[in-house]
Amino acid sequence: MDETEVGTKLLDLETETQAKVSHSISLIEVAIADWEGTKKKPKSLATRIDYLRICHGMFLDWEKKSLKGKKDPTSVANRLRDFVSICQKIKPGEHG
Amino acid sequence: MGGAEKSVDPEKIQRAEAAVTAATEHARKLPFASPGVASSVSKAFNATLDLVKEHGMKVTATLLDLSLSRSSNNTTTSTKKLVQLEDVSSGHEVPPFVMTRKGAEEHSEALTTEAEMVIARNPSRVSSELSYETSSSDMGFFDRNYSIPENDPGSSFVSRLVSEAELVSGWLVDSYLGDVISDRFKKTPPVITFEPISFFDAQEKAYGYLAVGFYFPDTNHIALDRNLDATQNSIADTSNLIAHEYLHYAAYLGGGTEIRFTDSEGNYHSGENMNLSHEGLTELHAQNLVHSHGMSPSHVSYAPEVLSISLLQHIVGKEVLKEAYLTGNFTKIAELVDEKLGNGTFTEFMYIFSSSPLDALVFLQNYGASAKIDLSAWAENPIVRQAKKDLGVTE
Repeated sequence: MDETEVGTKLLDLETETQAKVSHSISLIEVAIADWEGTKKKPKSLATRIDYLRICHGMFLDWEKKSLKGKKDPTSVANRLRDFVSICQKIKPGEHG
Repeated sequence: MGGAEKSVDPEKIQRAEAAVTAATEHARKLPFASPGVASSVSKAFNATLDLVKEHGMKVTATLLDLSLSRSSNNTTTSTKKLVQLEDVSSGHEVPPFVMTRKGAEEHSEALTTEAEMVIARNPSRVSSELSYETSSSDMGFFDRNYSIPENDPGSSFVSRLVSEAELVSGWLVDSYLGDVISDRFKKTPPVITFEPISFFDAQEKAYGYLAVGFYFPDTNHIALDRNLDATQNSIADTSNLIAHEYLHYAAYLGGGTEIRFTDSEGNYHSGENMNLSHEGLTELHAQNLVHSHGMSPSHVSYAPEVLSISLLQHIVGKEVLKEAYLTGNFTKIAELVDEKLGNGTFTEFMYIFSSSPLDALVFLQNYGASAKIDLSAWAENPIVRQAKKDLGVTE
């Protein structure tokens, strides 16, 4: 695979990742809006909302950098690497 | 007209969580998630990193990766696999992530955020001080005030810590660390940040790390608690703390974090079951250094480990143990112990130590007594006396 093909492949991966992130952000915002619009907030759901807020913040930061960032292979690869790191940290059920 | 009060719809939360799970599953399939995968994309990526190194650029701290390495509590991190700069057996000429002061401060912030995430996801591990209360104002987890008391002596105490750090750095002269490690230490000196109590609180609550100082592997970053009470911590104590963290870094540079040795029968030993408590070794050497400059710290951290290792030091000699500690190569130690106490003794000591440092101490004492080794000088060592006192052992 030559350099141009590598670059194209990386961009494709990033586009696919952006779609996943955007979808997650939208659904998280719906859940948080529902939570904040409700007076009765069960304690049992509070931690899950906290977790979603954290995911939202990290995904949103990543999305901004991804949409505005340079498109050269090194920059794209670094952003994808950052995304992997984010997901390893927030992976459900594997923290602590 | 009345009606039921609106409740939270748990399905919306479930859908959001499912989307996050799908994103993390997608991340797992990316080439960078498995550094060992020989895909052309990850090869191209690693080749890019080689170019960065070749052109003399320092790899700036990738904070999230370092946080991952910290949370895994394992020096063999995913980032280390990606950035194969040094052969581990010979130490590290330069850490993969060399930080400026600003980078270290950002690193600390990222670690605090990560710890708070872990706490938020594992509320049962957190003390009652952080219990979550619902209210109409909905004060969130991150809204809690980690304020520093108004009468914060921190700023003047930090100045004192800075001076002591310079003092201790001067102790680690060429003759102490040896030429190779000393050169590396001077080439990439440690960067110290002075952190508020909230930083250490978060580390304790998230991971159980009860400490007032940290060295972060694969970096040159050391964090110290800037709110150590100056009236309760003498210069000896704070110098010992600084020496302890500096020595962690020196041992990292020298390869000391990976213990290995060849025993008298030619068998090679390394790995987790060869654990000789890097913390115990580091504390003993910090205490040695501080005592050699006329100061006596008021306590000994990791007392069981220090007691056991101090007896080993008595048997093999200070300089021999120091070299092994800094490089990780314990072959000479194994030779000397087996010579004096019998073939296989050191290997057996190491296995016992990995389960119980105090059992290993008793083991070594018994073998030492059988071999008629005089232990009186060891018993009179002020570090040994203090460690016993800290453990509540009466003389």
